[in-house]
Amino acid sequence: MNAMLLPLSLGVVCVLSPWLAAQEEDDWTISADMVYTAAGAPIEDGVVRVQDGKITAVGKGGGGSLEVAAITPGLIDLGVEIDTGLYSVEQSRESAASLSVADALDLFSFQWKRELTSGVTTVLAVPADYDVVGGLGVVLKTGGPATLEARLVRADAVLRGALGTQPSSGNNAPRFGDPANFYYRRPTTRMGVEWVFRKAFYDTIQGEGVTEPAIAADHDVLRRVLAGELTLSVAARATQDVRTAIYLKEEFKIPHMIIDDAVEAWREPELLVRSGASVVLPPFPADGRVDDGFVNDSYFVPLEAARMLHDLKVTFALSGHGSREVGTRLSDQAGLAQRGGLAFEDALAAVTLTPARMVGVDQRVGSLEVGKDADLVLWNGKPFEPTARVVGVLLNGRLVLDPRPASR
Amino acid sequence: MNVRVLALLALFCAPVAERAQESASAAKAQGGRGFLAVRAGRIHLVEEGRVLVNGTLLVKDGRIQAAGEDVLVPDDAQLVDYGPDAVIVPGLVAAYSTYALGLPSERTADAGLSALDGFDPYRVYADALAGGVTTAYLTPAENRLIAGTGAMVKLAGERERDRVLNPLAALHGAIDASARATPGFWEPPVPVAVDVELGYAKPQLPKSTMGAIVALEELLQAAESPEDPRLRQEYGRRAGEDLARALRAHVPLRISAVESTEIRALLAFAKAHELPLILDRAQEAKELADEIAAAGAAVIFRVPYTGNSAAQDQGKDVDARWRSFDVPAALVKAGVRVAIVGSSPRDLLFAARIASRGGLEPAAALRAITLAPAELLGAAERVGSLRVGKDADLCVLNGDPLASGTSVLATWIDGAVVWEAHAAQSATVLEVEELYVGDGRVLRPGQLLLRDGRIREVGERVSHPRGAVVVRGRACMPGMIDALGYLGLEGSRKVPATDFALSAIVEPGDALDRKVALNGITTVVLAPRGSGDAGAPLMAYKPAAEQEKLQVVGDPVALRLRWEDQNRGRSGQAVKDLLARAKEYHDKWAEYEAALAKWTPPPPAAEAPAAEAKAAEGEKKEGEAKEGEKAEEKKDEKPAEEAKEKDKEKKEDSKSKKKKKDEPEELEPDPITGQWQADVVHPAGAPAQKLKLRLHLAKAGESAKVEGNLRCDAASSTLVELEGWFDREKRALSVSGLGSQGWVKLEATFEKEKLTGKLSFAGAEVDAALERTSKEYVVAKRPERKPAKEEAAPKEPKGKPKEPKLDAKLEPLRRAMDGAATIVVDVNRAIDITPCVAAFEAVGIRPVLYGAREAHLVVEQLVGRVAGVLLDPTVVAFDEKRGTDYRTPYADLQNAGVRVAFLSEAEEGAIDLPLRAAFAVANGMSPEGALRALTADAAEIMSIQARVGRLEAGLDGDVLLLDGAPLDPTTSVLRAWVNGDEVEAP
Amino acid sequence: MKNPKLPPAARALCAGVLLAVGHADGKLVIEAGRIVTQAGPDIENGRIVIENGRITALGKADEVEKPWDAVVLGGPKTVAFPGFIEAHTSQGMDRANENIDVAPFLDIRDSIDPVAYYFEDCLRYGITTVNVQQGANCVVGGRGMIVRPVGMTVEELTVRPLYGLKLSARPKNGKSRATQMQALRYAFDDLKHYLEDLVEKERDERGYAKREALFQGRDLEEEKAQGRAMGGTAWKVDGLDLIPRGALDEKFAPLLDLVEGRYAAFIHCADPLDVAHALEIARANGFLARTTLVIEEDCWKAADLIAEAGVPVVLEGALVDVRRDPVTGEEQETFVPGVLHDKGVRFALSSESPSTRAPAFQAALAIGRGLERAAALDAVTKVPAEILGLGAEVGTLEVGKLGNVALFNGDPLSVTSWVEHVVIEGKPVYDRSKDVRNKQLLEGVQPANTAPPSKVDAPDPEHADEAGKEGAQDEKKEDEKKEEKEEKKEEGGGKGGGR
Repeated sequence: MNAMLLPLSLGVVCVLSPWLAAQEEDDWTISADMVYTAAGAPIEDGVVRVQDGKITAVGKGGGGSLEVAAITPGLIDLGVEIDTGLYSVEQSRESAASLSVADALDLFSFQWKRELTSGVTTVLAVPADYDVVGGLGVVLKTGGPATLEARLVRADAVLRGALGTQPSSGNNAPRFGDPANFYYRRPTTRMGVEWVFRKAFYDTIQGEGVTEPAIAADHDVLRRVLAGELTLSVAARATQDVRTAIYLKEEFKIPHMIIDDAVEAWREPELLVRSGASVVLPPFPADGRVDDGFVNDSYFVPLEAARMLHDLKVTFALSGHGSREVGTRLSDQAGLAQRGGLAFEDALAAVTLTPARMVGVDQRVGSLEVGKDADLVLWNGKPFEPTARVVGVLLNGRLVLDPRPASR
Repeated sequence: MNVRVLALLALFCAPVAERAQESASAAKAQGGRGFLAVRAGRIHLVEEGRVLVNGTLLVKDGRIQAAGEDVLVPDDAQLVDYGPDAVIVPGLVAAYSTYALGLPSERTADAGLSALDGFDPYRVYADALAGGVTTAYLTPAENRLIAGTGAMVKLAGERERDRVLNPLAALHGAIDASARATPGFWEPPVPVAVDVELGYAKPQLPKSTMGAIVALEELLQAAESPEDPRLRQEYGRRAGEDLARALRAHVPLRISAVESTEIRALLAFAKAHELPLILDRAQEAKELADEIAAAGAAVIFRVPYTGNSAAQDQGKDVDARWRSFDVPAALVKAGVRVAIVGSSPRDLLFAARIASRGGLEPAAALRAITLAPAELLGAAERVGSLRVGKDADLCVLNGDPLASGTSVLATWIDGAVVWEAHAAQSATVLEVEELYVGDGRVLRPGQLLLRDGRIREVGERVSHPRGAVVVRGRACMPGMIDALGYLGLEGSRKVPATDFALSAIVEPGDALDRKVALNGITTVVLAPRGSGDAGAPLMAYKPAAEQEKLQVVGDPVALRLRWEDQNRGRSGQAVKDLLARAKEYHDKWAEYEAALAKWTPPPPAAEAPAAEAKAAEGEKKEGEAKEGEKAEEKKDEKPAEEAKEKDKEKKEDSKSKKKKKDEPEELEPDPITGQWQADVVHPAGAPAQKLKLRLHLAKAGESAKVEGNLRCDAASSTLVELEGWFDREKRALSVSGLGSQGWVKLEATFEKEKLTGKLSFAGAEVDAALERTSKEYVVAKRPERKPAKEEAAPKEPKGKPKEPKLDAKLEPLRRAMDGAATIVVDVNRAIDITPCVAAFEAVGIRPVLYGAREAHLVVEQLVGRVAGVLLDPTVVAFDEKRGTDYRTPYADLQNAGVRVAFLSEAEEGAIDLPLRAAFAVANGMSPEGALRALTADAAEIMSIQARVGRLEAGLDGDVLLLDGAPLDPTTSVLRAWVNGDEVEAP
Repeated sequence: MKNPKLPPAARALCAGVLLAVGHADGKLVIEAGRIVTQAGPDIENGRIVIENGRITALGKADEVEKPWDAVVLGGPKTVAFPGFIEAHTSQGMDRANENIDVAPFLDIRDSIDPVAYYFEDCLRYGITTVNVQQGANCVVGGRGMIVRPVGMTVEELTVRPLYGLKLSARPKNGKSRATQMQALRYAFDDLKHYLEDLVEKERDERGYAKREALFQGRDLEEEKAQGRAMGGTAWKVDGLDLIPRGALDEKFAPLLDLVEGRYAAFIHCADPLDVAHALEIARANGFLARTTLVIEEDCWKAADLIAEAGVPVVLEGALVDVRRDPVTGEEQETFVPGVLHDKGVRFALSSESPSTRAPAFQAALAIGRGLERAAALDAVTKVPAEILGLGAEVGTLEVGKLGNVALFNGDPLSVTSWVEHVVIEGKPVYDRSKDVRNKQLLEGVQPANTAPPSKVDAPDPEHADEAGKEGAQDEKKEDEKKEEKEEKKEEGGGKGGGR
C-alpha cells in the first residue's frame, strides 16, 4: 500500500494544491514527520489520506497537500462537562434512567467549538449529576452541522449515575414546623444518595409489571444495564464513593461500569482490579487537590495516578472537563500524565482509543485506521508537550481548523 | 477596534454588505486623494431641516467636505450608493446611556466624579451602533443630588483620542425620588487603633424636594467659599472646589426632575442663580411648558417606556399620574429645546417615534435625537447634523426615519462603516402601488417580503425585518414564464431519450441570461427540437439563477409527443401505440397497488430474526464494520436495521427477479445488439443489394430503446441513423430513421438468431432476413441513466403481491394518467386535434396541445378536456374562406375557459415575449388574461405552479419591478429578482 | 491561595526540611550536561563554580577547574538554568489586602509568611527570587519586598525590604471605575495639600512640625532630622526643606517617596481602559519611569499605549484571552504574549497566571503558541530581573552574578522533566529526592506527621529536626482525629455498598 500511496499522494499534490484554498475540500492528503495512529507503532514521515469523511490510507510517504509535525487521532473526552442548564435536571424523581441528555443538549453552545479547536473531536455527554440516576448519555462529535442526527456517534451510550455529595447538594430536608414543599427533596446525604441508587436497581429487579409508564421505562433501561447491554457511568470522587460504586457493581452484578471523575480511585487498587470497572480520571490540578464545590471537602489525585492505574492494568481514560484554560485542556492532561511517569503511547491511548472502546465507538473513531472517521489532530510539535499545540483539526474529513499560516 | 469591526463585516457578503466593504476600504483607501462620495435617495441634513433628494455627501479624512444634490464628485473618489430608496440621517446622538454608569459616591454631591473615567474605548458598542447611534452621553452615576459630571463620546472611531467630544458635558444629578435615599456617611478613621473612637454615620441631605433645594443652595455657597469648615464638614472636603471648577467651565446643570413640583422648584433655583439648566426625565413638563420656555431651560425627555421588559404598573392609587408620551410635542410648541432619549441607545429611533405623539413634526423629532442633544451637551461642533466640516457620522436607513418598520442598514463614523445590517437576516421588501399577483388578483397598494430566496409575505403591509432593503416603485408582477423554448443542443435535432436529464446540460446564468431576466422572463420551459415516438422530456429552469441548485424548477416537467406524421394517414399512430402500452402498464400498477392495499403484512416479530440474519450476512459484506455496535444495539436499532436490510434486500431481489424472468424463455438478455447483414432484393427487379445493419439495445433484458444505423444503397444513399424499439414479449423490432429518400423503417421479428421482417423506404417495401455477423456494437456507448423516478420497493415476505417492473419510458405517462404529470403533444390541424384529444381522454390524460394553429376552430371540443394550449407564435389567425376575418386564438381560447400560455421557441427565453403578449392584448386579449397566460397559467399548464407563476407566500422569489402597468407597451422592467437575488444588469 | 490549611507546626517542619539541606560551606560546584546561561550560547558538559554566593567560574567542564573542597551537584544528564524570577505576586502572605483605600504606610513584611506553601512551590518550580506585593484590591496599597523563597524568618527571606508600592487602577470592591480613579487622584492631591499645609504652618510658627513629631513620638535622628527639598519631576512643594523628613506623617511619607521616584510602582490593570488610567496617574505624579503594569489578559488591547509609555508589564492573566465578539458572537482567542512581543512591550510571565504555576511550563506554552524561544525564556528570567532592578545580580548565569541555579533532569521546557536541585546564592536549598510534599504530589505518598489526605505515614529520619519533633507531637492528635473521621466515612460507604 505504501508503494502505491507515494505516487498517489504526489499526484494529489500537483492536482489539488492549486485550488485547495479555493473551495472547501473533503479530500486531503496530510503528511507529517510523525503519524501516531494509536492503533500500532507510530509512522515516521507518514501520510494520511482522507476522502469523503473517511480515512482511506495510512502509511509512509510525504508531500501531502498539508504538512505538519505530527498527526494523532481526534481526541476523545468522556468527562467533558457539557452545560445543559439546571432546567434539564429532572425534579420529579431522583432516578430518571429513561431520560436522555440528547434532549437537553445545546448544539449551538460555544463549548463545542472550543473543544473542537483544542483537538477534542468526540465527547460523551451525560446529564448533570443533580439526580442520583440522571439518565442516558450520548456520544457525539464536537463539530459538523448543528443537528443531533449529524453529530451523533452513538445514542444511549451509557446510563449516568452519581454518588457522593453532588446529587444531594441541591436538596434540603424538611425543617420542623415548615409545611413540606416541593423544594424539600431527598436524598440529603451520601448515604441517602447511595440508598436511592440501590433502590433504583432493587426495584427494577423486583419491579416486573410496573404499569406507571415513566417508572416502567426507567426499569427497562436499568434492566439493560443489568443485562450488560448498557454501560453504567458513575461519578464518584472520594475514596468512599469509589468503593460504593464498586460494591454496587458487585452487588447487582453490573457487567460494564465506568467510574467517572474518579479522583481517588487510585487509593483502592485491589478493589478496582477485582471489580474490573474502568475509570475516567479528572484533570490533574496544580496542587493535587480537587475541591468539591458542594461541601467543603477536597480530594487528592497525584500526577502518578494514571501510571498506577496503567500498571494495575485498569482500563482508564483522561479528561479535561472541558476546560478552556490553556495548559489544562485534555491534550495537556496527557502531558501531565507523562509527567507522572506514564509512557507516551499509553497517554495517547488514554485520550483516543481507550475512551472510544469504553463507550463502544471504537469502530468509528479513536485511531487512524483505514475506514474510520477522518477525525485528525494536527500538531506543530511532539503531541502533549507544552511546546507543541494543536494547529489543525479535521472532523469527518472537513478541515475545521486550518494549520496553514495564511488562514490564521 | 473599528478595524476589527470592519474585518468582521467583511465576513458577510450580501450585495449590500459588499457596498459597505467598498466604502469601508474606501474610507481607509489611500488610493487617490481619499475622497469618498455617499449617495442616497433622501439625505436629512437636519441643519435648518434641509433634505436632499438624490443628494451626495462628499467625505474626506472622516469629515464632510460637501453636501448637496449637485455635488461635483472628483473622479478618483470612491462612490458608495445606497440607492434611491435609502435614507441617510446624521449619526444619532443618545443623550442618555449607562455605558459608564458606576456606583454613586458616598456623598450627597460629588462633582469630581467623572463619567469619562468609566469610558471604555476598547469595548465594541454594537448594540448602539446597530441602532444608528454614533454619539452617546455617558452618565457618571445616579441616585445622588450631584452624582458627577457626564461626558459626550463617540461610540467608535479610528482616532481613540478624538472620540471624546466633551469631557464636561453636564453636572449630572437628580432631585426626584431617586436621589432621596442618600445613605448616611461615615469615614473610617485611619489608622484604625484602639484609642481612635469609632465614628458613626452622619445623615445627609436630601430627604425631600425642599431638602434637595437647600442642599443645592448650600453647595453653591460651598463653591464660593470652599474652605468653609461647616460646609466641608457637611458635604466633604472637596465638594466646594469640585463644584466651583465645574461652574467656572459653565457646565450646564442636568438634573432629573419628574413631578411638576420638582420641575418648578428647579426652575426657580436655576433662575435665582442664573444657572444653565437641563431638565432630565421631565415626565410632567407638559403643563409647565411655557414656564420652562420662559426660564430658557432645556429638556431631555426620557420616554417612560422600557423595551424588552414586562409592562409596568401605571400607578393605581387615586392621585397616581399616568405616563404621558406627548410631552415633547407640547414643549416644542412652547419653544423649548428638547432632546429625546429611550431606555437604551439601541431604541432611540423607536423612542423618537412614540415621543412624537401629540403632533410633533417628524423634522423636530429627528432633531431631538440628533442636533438637539448635541447642542445641549456641547458636541454640536462635530456631530448632530450633516454640515460641511462636521464628522461624517451617518445613520443609513431603509426608509423614513420615523416610519414604523424602518430600520438601520448601516452606521458610519468618521467616514467609515462601523456597523452593517447582518447579511444573514438581510431581506428585501417591495412597496408598490400595484402588486399583480399573477392569477388576476391585484393589491393596491401592495407589499412583498423576499427572504432566503422565497416570497415570505404578500399583502398590503408586510413585516419589515431589521436591516431589510426596502424598494419602492410603481408596480410589480411575477417573473414571466416562457412556456416553451427550444433547447440549444448546438442546434442539433437529435432527440434525447425520454429519461435523459436535460438538467445535466444547464449552466449558471451568463450575461445573456441576465439580460433576458431583466426583460421579464425568469423561467423557461425547454424542449428538444422534434420528438421521438417515445416522447421527449421537457425541463423548466431559470436561466438567470445564481445558485445552481435553485436553477432547475422541474426536470422533467413534461413529456413531449408528436401527433402528426409526414404520412398524414399514420398521424397519431405512434402516440396511440405508446398510450396503449402506457395504459397496460398503468393498469398493471393499478392492480398491484390495489392488491397491495388489501394485503395485510405478517407481524414484524416473525421477521426480526430474519432481519438479524440479514444483518449478520450484511456484516460479512460490509466487513467487520459496526459489528460490536450492532450486537449491543439490536433492539433499539431495529428500525434503522430494517431500513438497511430493505435496500440491501431490494438490490438483491431486483437482481434475482431478472434471473427468474429470463429462465422461462431461453431468450438471451441482449439478443439483437451487434451487426446484421442481409441481401435485399428490390421488387423492381434491381440487383440484390447488401443491407448492413448495426443495432444496439439500450437496456439488456427488457423492452427497450434500440438505436443504430443502416446502410442500404437502395433505401438511402447516406447512412441512416435508426431509432426505435425492441419488444421482448413480442420479440418485435421496430426501428426507423430519415434517409436521403425519406423515412426508412425496419419492422422485424427475432427468431432463432435471425431477424426477419420488412424494410420499407420511399413507398417501397422489401423483405429482409438478417443474419448476425457479430455481437459487437463498436460505438462509444451513451452512459445509461437510472430511471428518473423510482418507488422504494418494500420488503417482500411470501404472499406479498409482486411489483410490476418499472419502465422509465412509460413512467411519465403513467403519472400523467394519474394527473400528476403533463403531456405536451404537437398537433396543429383541427382534424388532428379532435382525435388526439379523444385518444388522450380515453386513457384519462388531459394533454397540453402545442402548436394548435387551428385550435380556435374546435374550441368547444377542448374546454375541460385539455390542460392547456401552447399556441404557436402566430397571435393573429385569419380564415382563408372569409379573408378579412382576423381573430386572436389566444383570446378565443382563454375566453372559452382554456388555459393558454405564450412561448418563444427561442433558445433561452426571448426578450420579446412580453411584447407578444402586449400584441395579443392589442388584438383583443384581456390584459389581465394576457398577464395570467404569461405567469400563473403558464405555470399551471406545466404543473410548476408550486414554485413559480404567482406572487404568493412560499413561492420562489421571482419578482419584476415595473414602472407601469404590466403589458402596457410603454411599461418596462426596472429591476428583477430571481430566487430572491437581484439580477445585476450585465 | 488555594493551598489547604495546615497546622503551623507542620508547615514549619516542611520548610525546616528544605532548609536543613541548605547549610553547606561556601563553595559549590554544579556539573551539568548543559548550561543554559541566558547570557550567551548554551554550554554542553559545563561546570559552574560558586563561592560565597556568587558565580566565580563557569564554562566547559574541562576548562573550568573544580575546587577540591567544593560540594558537587548535578551530573551529565542535568540541565542548569538560571533561577526563575517572579516579578510580582501577592502570595506568601496571609490575607493580601487591607480594607483602607489608601494605605501606603503598610509594609508587607508584617504579613509575609516564610513557611507558606507558596515558597515551597517556588523551589519546586525553580523560582529563586520573588517580588511580593500587596493584593490588587486597593487604591494605593502597602510597600512590598523582594525575597528569596527560603528561610524560617522574614529576615532570612529578605533580599530587598520596602521595595515597591502597589497601586490599582482596577476598581476596589465597592468602587466603580470613576470612583477608583477619583480616589487615586485624591490620594496624591491629599499628599500635596498635606505638604503645603505643613510648610505653611511651619512658616507661620517655626518648629511646628518638629513639635508635632515629638508629640507623636517619632524619632528624629540623623537624616530623619534633616529636611530636604522635594525631588521628583511632576510637581513640587516649595519649602519642604524646612521640615525634617522624620516629622512627616507616615500616612503620607511613602507616597512622597513614590513621587520623588524612590519607590518602584506596581499598578494593577484588569481591563484595557485601566491601562490609560494607570499611565495617567503615573505621568501626573512623575513615577512613570519606575512603573510596572501588572496586567490581566484583556489588557492586550491597550498594548499600543503600553509600548508608547515604554513601561514593562507583568502578565498575571491567562496566556490566551478568550472572548466573544459582540458583533458576530464568535469566540476569539488571542495569544497575549504574542501581541505584547509584536508591539515591543517588555513583559514578564508570572506564576499567578491561571494557565499554570511553573514559569518553565509557561515559557513552554508560550513557545508552543509561536513566541520566539529567547523571548519566552527572557520573560521568566532576564526581564523580571530588570523589572526588579536586579539585572546585575540575577536572571542569567554569568561570572559575578548571584549563584541562583535551577537544575533540571532534562530539557527545562519538557513536561516530563523536573527540577532536581535549586541553588540560591550558592546554597543548595532544594533536593527533589528529599522533597516529601512533591512525593505526595507525584505519588500521593503522605509526608510524615502532616495532615492527611493519605493514611500512609512513613516517618522519614531525614526530616526529624526539632521543628519536626515538636510538630510530630501535636500533629499526631490531628492525625488520629482525621483518621477516625475517615474510618467513619468508609464505614458509611462500606456498609451501604457491602450489603
